[in-house]
Amino acid sequence: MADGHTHHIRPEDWPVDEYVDKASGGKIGMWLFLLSDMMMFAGFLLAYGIRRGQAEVWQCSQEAVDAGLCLIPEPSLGINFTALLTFLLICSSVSMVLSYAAVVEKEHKKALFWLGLTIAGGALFLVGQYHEYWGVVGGGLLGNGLIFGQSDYATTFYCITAFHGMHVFSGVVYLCFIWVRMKKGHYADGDYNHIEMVGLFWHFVDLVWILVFTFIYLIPENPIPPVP
Amino acid sequence: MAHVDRKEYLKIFIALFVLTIVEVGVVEVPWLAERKGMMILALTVLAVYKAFLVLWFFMHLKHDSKPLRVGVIYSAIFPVLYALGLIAEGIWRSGKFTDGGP
Repeated sequence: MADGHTHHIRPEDWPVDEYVDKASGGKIGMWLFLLSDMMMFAGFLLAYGIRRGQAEVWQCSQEAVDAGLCLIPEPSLGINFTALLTFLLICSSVSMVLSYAAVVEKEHKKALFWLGLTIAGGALFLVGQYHEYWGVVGGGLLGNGLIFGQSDYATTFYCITAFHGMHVFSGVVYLCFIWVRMKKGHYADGDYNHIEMVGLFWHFVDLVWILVFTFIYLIPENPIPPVP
Repeated sequence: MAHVDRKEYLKIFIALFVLTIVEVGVVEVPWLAERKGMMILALTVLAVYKAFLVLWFFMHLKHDSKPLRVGVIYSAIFPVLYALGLIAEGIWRSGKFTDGGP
């Protein structure tokens, strides 16, 4: 079942396999990779959950410093801005699946358009992350005192969001490669296998961010008892 | 023919958008703010449901063979079980709500 033989045959023209139906070797391979990648993220999130669950105070806010619970104040995470980033990734997931649909229906120009939008969404997300860390307009978290290694709050935040950011970056590079191949006409005959594979990776990146946004950004801090 | 249903994709997009707004809103509800366990449960249910929508409709798990679906879903469930057990054990051992020892 070398890929060279099946390269220009649409997956629906393949014989049905009793276990995986008409899924290609590449698709199965991508799913296996994503499952192992999911375990990596699960490990990071689990460590975050355990450390946060055990902590009396998680973010060392100014209130916590005033109450004598910790020494160095740390900035809060920006929920509204990150909600926008979440929406951006969801939109790029939609444009990805629309590009896939266009390839299946042999609409070459539409496929290129939607894939281009997907790349733009991913690139904008990276700009957003840069703004969050360093601040394109105004200060970023680093400038406001959230330093890697200074606390569990800071370290887990940077580990998880940067690891995800690396996935977005490599996803954008991967998407660009596929866009160039698409422009050269490789998928004009409706062979959607490669589009499906890159789509799986991109949707995975979105899915992980949905979970990261919920657990890292949304769960609120315990209320600090007022200083007597 | 590969499964393509644009109307379905747009419906899922709207669902994801609405659920994201609901999630951000949940954090602001005062009743839930006083019951952190309930808030974490609500946020987790919303997030897992959103993740499921992406898996099922965008990643086309809906149209895949049963062995592939089972492989993905079961593999996703295991880290959740670990999380429930290990986080609970970690909280117990920290002594935040119990004395944390035998």
